[in-house]
Amino acid sequence: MAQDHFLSFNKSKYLKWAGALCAICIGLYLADSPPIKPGGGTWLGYGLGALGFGLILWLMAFGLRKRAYRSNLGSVRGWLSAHVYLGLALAVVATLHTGFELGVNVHSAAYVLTLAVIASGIWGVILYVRQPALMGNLLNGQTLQNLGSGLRDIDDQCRKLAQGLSPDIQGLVKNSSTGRIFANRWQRFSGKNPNCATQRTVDTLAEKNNGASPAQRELYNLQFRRLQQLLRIREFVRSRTWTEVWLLLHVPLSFGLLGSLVAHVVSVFFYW
Amino acid sequence: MDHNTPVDPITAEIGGLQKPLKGRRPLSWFLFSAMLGLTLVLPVLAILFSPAAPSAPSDSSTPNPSTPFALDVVWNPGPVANAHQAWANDCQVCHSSPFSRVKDADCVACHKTTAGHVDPTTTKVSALEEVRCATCHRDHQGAFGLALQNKHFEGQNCAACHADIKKTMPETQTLNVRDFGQEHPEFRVQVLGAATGPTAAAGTDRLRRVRQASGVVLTEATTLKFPHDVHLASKGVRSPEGLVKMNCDGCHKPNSDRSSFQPVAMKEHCQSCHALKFEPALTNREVPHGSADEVLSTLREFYSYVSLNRVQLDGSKLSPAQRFIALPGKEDRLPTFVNGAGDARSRAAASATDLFERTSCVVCHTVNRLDVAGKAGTPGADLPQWAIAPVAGQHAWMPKARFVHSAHEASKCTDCHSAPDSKKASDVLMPDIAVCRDCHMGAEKVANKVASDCGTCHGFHMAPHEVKAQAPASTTTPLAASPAALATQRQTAQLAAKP
Repeated sequence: MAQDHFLSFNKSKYLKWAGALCAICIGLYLADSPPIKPGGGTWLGYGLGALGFGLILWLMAFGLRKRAYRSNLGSVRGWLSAHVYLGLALAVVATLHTGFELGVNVHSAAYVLTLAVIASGIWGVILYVRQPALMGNLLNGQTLQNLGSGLRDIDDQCRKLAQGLSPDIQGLVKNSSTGRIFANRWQRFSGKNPNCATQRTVDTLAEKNNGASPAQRELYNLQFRRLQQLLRIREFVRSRTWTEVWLLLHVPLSFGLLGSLVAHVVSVFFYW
Repeated sequence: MDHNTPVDPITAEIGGLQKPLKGRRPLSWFLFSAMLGLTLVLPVLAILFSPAAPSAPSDSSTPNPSTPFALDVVWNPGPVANAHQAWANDCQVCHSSPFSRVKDADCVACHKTTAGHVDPTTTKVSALEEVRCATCHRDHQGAFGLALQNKHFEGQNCAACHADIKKTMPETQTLNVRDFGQEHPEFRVQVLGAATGPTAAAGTDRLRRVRQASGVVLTEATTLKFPHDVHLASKGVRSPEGLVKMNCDGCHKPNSDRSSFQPVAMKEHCQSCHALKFEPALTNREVPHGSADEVLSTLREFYSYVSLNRVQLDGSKLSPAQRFIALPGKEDRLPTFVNGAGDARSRAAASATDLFERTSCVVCHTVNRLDVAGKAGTPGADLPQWAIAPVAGQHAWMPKARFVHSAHEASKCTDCHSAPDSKKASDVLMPDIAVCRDCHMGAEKVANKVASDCGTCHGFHMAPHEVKAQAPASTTTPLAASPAALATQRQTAQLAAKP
């Protein structure tokens, strides 16, 4: 995995590139003694600004490359690796471009948005490093659809077993099979459904388990497995929802940044 | 969920859960448009529809427009300098046209009196033609940003032109300068030239800058007599109260900001010893330190009174102090006028002769007896006439350099000015470059020396009055008036006054 991972892609080639870029920029900044206060208005400031502008456009182009499935322009994993490391380098370039001067204006707004996008990006990296499976729709090597089929299989088996049992039990099995994974959309964020029908069925069957028939005990086992599957699905959906929340921040914030960046560049030259 | 398709609930719900959270695209559009709209589109529209501004600082006839609701203030990249705070929300006062760098015309609209580096009417320097005000003066760098930049630029890059100034400007009088410590010519001191020739008679400016040479004391054509050595003698100088030890600050009082000095004034600094008494045995009255006419009229009136009232005059009874007052520093020679005899006119004439030629005026001034009639209608008109050579007012010694005395207060005056050795007022007591180099070296740091770049003493801009094109015809006091010229003026005035 080490070589294959997006953070260590191609012997961490882009980490080295980004590190070199930062080192060069910091070195130039330290060596520069501009006649005015360091910032976007010195020659180095213009250079760092142009570099930062180019980086932002390229970083946002990752969204296009990700969707261009037929593109041969490098692997998406390579792009992601470069996206992460050059995105981090952007924080250094942008900070040097400001000359450590902030105010209440469009220029600082662009800078703050840049840092916000980078911060959300770091959050995304942490999410993906801790749960690589979230990058796909996979759970234990299975898709969510597979897991759904598994639930239906269990329900079919339970229905057959319940046919020889009391109407109470049959009702419990039916409730369990028609119960919802999440009762409402907000439960996706917590991953919990406190009113879970399968949970109720399992609880009730557990109470009646003493001296129960083998069929009923088998039914209990099947329902218990169903509950385990459900909990797994909920936990997975919860995790994936939060990765989507991350993208819901990362992408719109970067477009807000694009807007303020255009305003920043145009305004600087409008009132040169 | 789609109710028309017969899908079981679990498959349907899982299908729903697999759809990503909605809103990424609209939220992206919203943030993009909001940022672009609020911080670019609105300000640009406001600028395009700006009415003319009444708040423009200049009194120019076409003031720059003012942006409605100051919507362009979101573009302000940093606080403007304190002096510009009044227009901090009025961007177009300085930024008059879009996508163009701030124009010099916008600066000069207010800074009318700021002159360039050279006089454009006499000197053309191609390298300076590309320099804008904003090349050096960049605002939005904080309340004191401009002041800091001024300090920075003053010492920068002077040598780029001045190290070999003759190459670019063969006709210049300026010598090559690279660095104060290593290559800087001797100072040129501004002195008063001799009052001769047609220009002097016409009263034009006699100030000229003369280069110092080591071991040579420059002299100035002053009409004043003042031996610094006598007054600063270590044993003291004689006064009505006996020997008095005088110091520089007895006469040279700092001005209000202590950068330089107030003019020395007869009444405050000289007259306690050099009194203008003329009959010390009888009266403490003094003649006015003013025009010769006033002096002569005072004497004529006094001796008329003495004659009319038969007042006894006896100079032999003068006390030592009275004797001193009559002729400071020269006790042995009693003035003659105290024993004068005859009628009022001849007594006044004798007294005037003593005052002008022996005891008072002549002690400090260049006095010339004139063969002309006195000022018509004044009591002293029938007395002999004299002219006091005009004394030039204070002038700057080093007008191209900046020197603040208060910054050097810790030093003794005599560290730089060798006044105790000077016998004549014509000695120019300005220190030469070697004296400055005792403490100051060039821009590069030298152990135990003050690092001094060009900006330590020099500014970039000419003083407004130095630019001939801008200066009014003549604001300087006429310095020259030779006795002959004065006599001519007086005769002309008399002719004109006669019916």
